[in-house]
Amino acid sequence: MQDILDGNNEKEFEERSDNIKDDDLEIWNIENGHFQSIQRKLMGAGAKLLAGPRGTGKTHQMRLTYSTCVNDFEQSSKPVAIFATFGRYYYLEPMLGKASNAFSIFHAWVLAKILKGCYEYLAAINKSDLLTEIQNEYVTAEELDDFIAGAELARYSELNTHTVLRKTSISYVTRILEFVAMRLDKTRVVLLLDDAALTFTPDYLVEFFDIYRSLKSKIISPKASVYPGTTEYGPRFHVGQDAELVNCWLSINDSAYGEFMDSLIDKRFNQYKVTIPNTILEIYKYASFGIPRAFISLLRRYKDSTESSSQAKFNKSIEAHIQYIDSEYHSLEQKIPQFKLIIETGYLFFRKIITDLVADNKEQANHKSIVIGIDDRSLSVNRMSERMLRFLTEAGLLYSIGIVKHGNVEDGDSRNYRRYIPHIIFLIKERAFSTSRGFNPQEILDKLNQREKKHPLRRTLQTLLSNNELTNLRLDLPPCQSCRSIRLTEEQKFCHVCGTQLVKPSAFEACMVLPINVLSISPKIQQRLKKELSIHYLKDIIALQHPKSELQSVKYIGTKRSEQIIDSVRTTVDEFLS
Amino acid sequence: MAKPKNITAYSFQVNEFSITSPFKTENFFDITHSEISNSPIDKFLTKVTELNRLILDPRDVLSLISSLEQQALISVEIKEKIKGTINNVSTVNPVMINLVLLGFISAIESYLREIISKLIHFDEKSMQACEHKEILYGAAIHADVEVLPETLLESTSFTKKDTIKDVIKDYLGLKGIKFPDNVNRVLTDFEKICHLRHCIVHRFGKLGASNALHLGLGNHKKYIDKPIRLDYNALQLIGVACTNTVKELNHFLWSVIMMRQLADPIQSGDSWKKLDTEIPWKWNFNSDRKRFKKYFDIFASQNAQSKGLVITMKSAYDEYKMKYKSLS
Repeated sequence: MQDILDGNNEKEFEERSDNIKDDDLEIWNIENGHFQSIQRKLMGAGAKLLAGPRGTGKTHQMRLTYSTCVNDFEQSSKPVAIFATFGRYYYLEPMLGKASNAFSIFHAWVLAKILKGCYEYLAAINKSDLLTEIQNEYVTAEELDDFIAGAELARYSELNTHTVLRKTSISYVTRILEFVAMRLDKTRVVLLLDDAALTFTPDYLVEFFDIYRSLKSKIISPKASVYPGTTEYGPRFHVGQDAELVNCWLSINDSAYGEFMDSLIDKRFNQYKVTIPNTILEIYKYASFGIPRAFISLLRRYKDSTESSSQAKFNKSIEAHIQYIDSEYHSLEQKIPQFKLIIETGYLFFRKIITDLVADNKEQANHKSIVIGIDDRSLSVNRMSERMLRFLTEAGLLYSIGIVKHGNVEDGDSRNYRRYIPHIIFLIKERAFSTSRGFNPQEILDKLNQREKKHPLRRTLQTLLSNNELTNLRLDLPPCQSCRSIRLTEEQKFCHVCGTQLVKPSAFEACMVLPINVLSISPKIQQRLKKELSIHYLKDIIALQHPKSELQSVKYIGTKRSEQIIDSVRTTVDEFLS
Repeated sequence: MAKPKNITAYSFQVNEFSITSPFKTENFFDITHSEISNSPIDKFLTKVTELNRLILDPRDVLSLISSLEQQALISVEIKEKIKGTINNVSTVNPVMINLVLLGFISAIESYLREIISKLIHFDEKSMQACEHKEILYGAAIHADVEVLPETLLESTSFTKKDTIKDVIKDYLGLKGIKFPDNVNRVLTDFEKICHLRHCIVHRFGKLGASNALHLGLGNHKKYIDKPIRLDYNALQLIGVACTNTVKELNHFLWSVIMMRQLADPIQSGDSWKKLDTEIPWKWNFNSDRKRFKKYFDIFASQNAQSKGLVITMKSAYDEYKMKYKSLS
């Protein structure tokens, strides 16, 4: 890691909250209205959905709630807090194509994770007596661990007769949680369910929110972190009615936006105020588009840059971040290949919005123009346009700010426009806010600080995409494996031509057949792995019974390298599928 | 007493006259057919495939026509004309779908009959379990020995979860064994589908009160006396549930039938204890091959090969041998 100016705080570069230790969380606390109001929602009663794209601090918020509840557990106002993360749901995805009771195993896996979180909470607050008592009466932590590992490692045949599968049910878990609350003299249990977006397996998403809804009671308040733009949580779950949506992602048009970003620098990156020119710092606040993690990485890129001029440092940092966003968005194509065409077309759609807004800004002298309004009716022409918008919103490329009516209602000519703000960094890169030819940060900032023009730039799906591009808004499903006929629908189970059962496309399996050169290990070691252990794909490493010792049987691979390899596999899989 | 006058019944003709239809049921069967030596599960899968091919999604016709038009084999006008007529048919013929559903159930029943009777025919423990069962005298004197076990199941119907479980336990001698979660769940689903079958067979598709009761009155009450309306996707879901039933049962039976030749189930089959009596295996592939092949052939699916599973008898045998070694 690079030297840091004040030399004593290496933690500033921890961009993923998962990597921050609990003890450090308080140091990271951000005192501002936005942050505090989210904490209140997480700590308080009622079911909540915490929405925001990656990097908006959802995990951070939940972990902070958890550690506050643990540390101040003596305070009667602090609820019982249970933290559980469901990011590894995709390990259970192949099961949908391999086990008939995938849902019941998934169901038990979710409940087991919650119980495990409950046991961890009891251990953290040093209530080992109560913990023992519960384990004697109900399932033990070892049984839970064994089941969770079994589900994630696809040991299906062992699972079918597993105690956890047989015992756990909603009422069983409710009983334990309410018993804990009673014994600790608490009136409320908050379930902090992190990484619950389950984007790639809509089947599990529905099942998950059924559990979420059923666990909700006077005493139990579930909170789940999700991506923005997801509106379908299944036929029995209604956002607003079953849970309140809490936006973790702050709009850059929000009045609290500046304060929120300021407090971030104050608490965490004060030293940057001297190294980075103030105007650039201010532009970065916009460029990070409400995503703290992006802000941190822009600051770091600027500081670490070897360029000499501030213009070059700035440009490089913006370009590098755009490249990062692009590659993250396009990585979706590998994860869910059936949506490849839609994801690609979505990117063209997004770039066209940027081009049009850049042009519009050039025409505005006293206002900025960063909002696009898309005619609702034009979207209904293509079924897949909704999917396309969802991908863009989930990835944080579009920020939805609701619907506005335009036109004369009495004429019957009124139209609904869905309003979105595209990621500002792209507008900055395309010089939407620059009028002079050179590099003038003050000019950019002044433009950004102008008021938004009254009406958004209005477009239809058809004006943003050409006819050819529109025809690409369709699913790209793998053909029948036996007769190569094209599939008709995503849900199709049997081929309509030859009648054989179709194999379910699996993102997890697509990940497993990635070659090992995607791992961050040296080519020489890769060669050795291929030659000596015939490891060619990620799945080969995952399939090793005792990965560490088996890897170490290869020459030049010791304890450290084997750990590095295993770590690299884990991060690669997590990155691919999260 | 005067002879009563011969009075015929009132017979005003309210419907059409019948026409003659001479038939002999013995002409309805295929004498040339001889059983192919596939495993029961593969026969089942072939039947499902045939059933699936009976149904064509109307959208498929649309895509076919569009591709013809794109290749300039038909004009745009013709395409539009055909599309216009097809759009009126929003679903596949519902009666056809119902009949296909009956076909699925018939395929499952015949799988069950076949696997159970084959096991009774050569698996010693299954045979023992049936020694005291009675069969019809007629069957005993006329049927071949190989078909005989099937006559045992003549009067059994496989439409209820509990019946299926009881027959398996009873006829295959698996009394001490608990059915695992996966098998229980597919059987529960299968029973639901059998209730749909009941409506189709006995009420031409309308939901009967007792079926509604079994399916859950709360959710089904309002549909009593309303017809089943399955679309293409619904039928596919049912098809998957039916194939799952056979896949899970086949795997479960394979596992317990093989396992009990080595060990006794304890805790209802959650765990196993090595047999202290002699076992029928010598653990030499060449000497065991004949016996192992019998079992392997009736359970293994060649069909699975096309889905990327590699199923060879040798690897099945090796793993079986390892299992034995691991028993203490």
